[in-house]
Amino acid sequence: MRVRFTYARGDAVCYISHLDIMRTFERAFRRARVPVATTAGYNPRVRLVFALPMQTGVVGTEEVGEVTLAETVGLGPFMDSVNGALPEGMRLTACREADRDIKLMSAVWAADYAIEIRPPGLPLAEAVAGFMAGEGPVRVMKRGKAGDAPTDVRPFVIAARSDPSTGTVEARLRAGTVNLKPTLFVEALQAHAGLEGAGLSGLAVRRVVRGAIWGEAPRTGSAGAVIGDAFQTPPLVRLFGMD
Amino acid sequence: MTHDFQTMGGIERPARYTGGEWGSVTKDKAGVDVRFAFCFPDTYEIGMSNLGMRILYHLINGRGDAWCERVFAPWHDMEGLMRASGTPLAALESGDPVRSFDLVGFTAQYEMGYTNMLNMLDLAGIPLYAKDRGEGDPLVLGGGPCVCNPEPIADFLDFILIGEGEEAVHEIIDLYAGWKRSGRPGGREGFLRGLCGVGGVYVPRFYDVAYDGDGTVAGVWPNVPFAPERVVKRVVADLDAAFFPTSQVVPYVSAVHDRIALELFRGCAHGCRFCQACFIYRPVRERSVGTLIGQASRLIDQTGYEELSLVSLSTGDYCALGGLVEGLSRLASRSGVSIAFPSLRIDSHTSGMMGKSDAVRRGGLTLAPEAGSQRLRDVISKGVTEADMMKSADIAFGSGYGSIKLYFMLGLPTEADEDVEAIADLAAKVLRRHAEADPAAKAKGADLTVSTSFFVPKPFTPFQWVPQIGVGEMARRRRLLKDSIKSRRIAYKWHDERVSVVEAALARGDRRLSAVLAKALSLGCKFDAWSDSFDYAKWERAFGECGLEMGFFAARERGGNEVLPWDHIDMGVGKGYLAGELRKAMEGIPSGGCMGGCRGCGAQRLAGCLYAGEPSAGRPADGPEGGWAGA
Ligand code: SF4
Ligand code: SF4
Repeated sequence: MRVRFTYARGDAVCYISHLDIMRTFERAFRRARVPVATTAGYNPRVRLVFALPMQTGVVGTEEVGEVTLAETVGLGPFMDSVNGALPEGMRLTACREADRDIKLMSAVWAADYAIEIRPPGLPLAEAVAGFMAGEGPVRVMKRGKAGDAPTDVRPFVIAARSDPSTGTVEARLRAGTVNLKPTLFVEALQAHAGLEGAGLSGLAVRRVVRGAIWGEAPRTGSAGAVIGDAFQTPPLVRLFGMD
Repeated sequence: MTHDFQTMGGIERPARYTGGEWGSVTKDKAGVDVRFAFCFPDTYEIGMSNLGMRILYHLINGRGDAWCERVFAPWHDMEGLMRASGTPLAALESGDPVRSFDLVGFTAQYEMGYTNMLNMLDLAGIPLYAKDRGEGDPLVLGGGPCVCNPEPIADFLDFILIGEGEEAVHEIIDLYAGWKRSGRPGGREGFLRGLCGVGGVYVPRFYDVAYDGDGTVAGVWPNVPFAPERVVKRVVADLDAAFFPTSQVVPYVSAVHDRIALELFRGCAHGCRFCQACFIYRPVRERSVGTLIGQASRLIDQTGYEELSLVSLSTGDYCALGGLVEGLSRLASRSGVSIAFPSLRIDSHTSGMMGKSDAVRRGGLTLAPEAGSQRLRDVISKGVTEADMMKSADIAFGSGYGSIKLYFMLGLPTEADEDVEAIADLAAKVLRRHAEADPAAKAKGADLTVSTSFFVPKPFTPFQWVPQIGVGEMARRRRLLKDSIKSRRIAYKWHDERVSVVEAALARGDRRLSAVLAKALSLGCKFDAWSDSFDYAKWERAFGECGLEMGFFAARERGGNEVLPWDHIDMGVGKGYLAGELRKAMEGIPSGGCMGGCRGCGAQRLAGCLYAGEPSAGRPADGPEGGWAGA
């Protein structure tokens, strides 16, 4: 039986690396006596995948993972027992059976972020609006296959806005195999604002929260037209609900 | 300082500083009388591996009136941030500043952690010297194996617990809680005075140290009538009934020993003459199989760990090892946990168990013959022969172990060049056995590692009187060994000899070293156990500026009748016994362990010993007067 779940990780545990999160879940499953399936071989591992690795320091509200169980279990008891065995600050928020064999990691298309910026009072709303209205390339150093290279990040940004009252930038960014870290988006904002002469000097990221993770909705018939343009936004569905 | 994304982004492994792990304990601070900050003067990963800290953390938190929290040494990057932002050192659980605690306890696991201890006090904003602390400051205590010679850190600590904490820590907290409730009669001094009645507690300010003209200690005497002349180490008489936590904190960031740890027994019956741990943890006391299986079962359920290890000085000695491994194997297969034996002596008795330990096979086999020649092994009374080692190697290779590590000590008393060369010979022989057992292995490259550390004479061992060889001679012997190793398939790793010199000076130092430590801290020494942080030149300067010489403490032979700086501490093992062992060492006569009968080390005065039976109060206490007749 395969269980897909969403989990939240709060501020208290946001500095735990992706690898350590994996281990934390493995141990929580053991404590909860969940009958997890393990890989064969000398060094058996729990069959557990997360849709999207998480940058250290990022808070998550809807992280998506899947675990394969050796037996069929009730979803309610599964969630209760795992939540009873997770450390404070980590919590399953939903789970469902995931029978269709989609490759969770390659199905990811985008993710939502809320990026809190300090100090307060920077012209964020203007900077974001300016960035979104602009058209020319905005290049920042980005890791690619051939190492770091100046890369235009515009195609990675699906949507962004900022509410002047909060000091927070909300953005939907490409995620998964084509990925933009939220910190790079902030750099791009700064670079763009610099071009416009509206400085964001002294800007620092205070907190980053990742919200929903999105997958590309299965295409039917005519939607085939968009294939071929990796950056064209397809219809998106929440990865958790995707079949 | 807030844990903010950008700030923490520059910090290595930031989860070291955020706590909240499974099994960690949070309490309502308004509901407790005593707040205890348990400080480990090294990184989180190292501290979280320490069994003593685990035991006492849960022991204190088992009390309704006290809350124990953990504090580790921040790594250089984090310390930089804290100092830049003026953030004082805080405890992991509550985030409250350490200086607001009632009791601040340091565990001294190795001498090279002393500067970290001072640095943590400094970061906490607590005055370094005990004499400078006022009524508003916490009481700072020390414990752990290193405090068997408490003198080098005596000036910094308000009090020191010598020996085991399971009972004494309760008594200390009871006393503190009572003193606090009744309005702190007599102030700090009043509390410390009361502590003199708690067995194992040493309050340095109540003792004066006098020196002779030649710089040696003339004596350490109480300067108040209520302090005992000698402080006797605390031991838990019935280890089987002693507290052992049924839960363990499971760190997010992998600790060095990130697994369930079961403590089989304390002390060691072998009596290898360089081995401080052996003597200071005596008498030998075991836990029963039933107790251990029960502890293992509860810890497996509570932690979710995938691995369990047996920690004791010489695990293979455990009386009922067969039964224990049987029981643990059943438990392990039921719960999918593997068992690791970190310090198993492999012989025919234990070889059958090796198959049950995947973890050992993965990690390879480690043997610690300590010396290359039989002559030198006799000097140090390491009861292992070349034939034993070859047999171990055969068994190991036969059961599929890939790699093998051999540990040796260079600079042992009486070591000559032949003994150094014998290390290379021994390694070559083991390698040949490996090639015979596994002809395919030859192609794989280096699979045998020889590691050497330098001998450091330690208090409460038969070698407590002997000089350490000089740093130049150490380097020469290290090079001699390197040149003697001919095979490319043997990798040679060694420890920096200069660290061993400083360690030797601190280990056998007297109270004047407190000033040296404070000076070293001011020169920037910290994380001295880490090779990239250690700076020998600063240590030389620190000693020099205090008008002392490292060689006086490290490389000087102590006279037979010399008062040793730790003579006022009674660790159970008697000075006369140690002197006898030294005489035998110099004659090249090994002693053999206690399995054949009690050798009268004196530890059974404190509690019953596995090999000596009930405590023998009648035996004359081996006082500090028993010296060694000199060389
Ligand atoms: S066997 Fe020897 S080296 Fe090992 S703990 Fe015992 S005395 Fe120390
Ligand atoms: S009391 Fe006797 S048996 Fe026990 S450790 Fe000492 S010498 Fe060995």
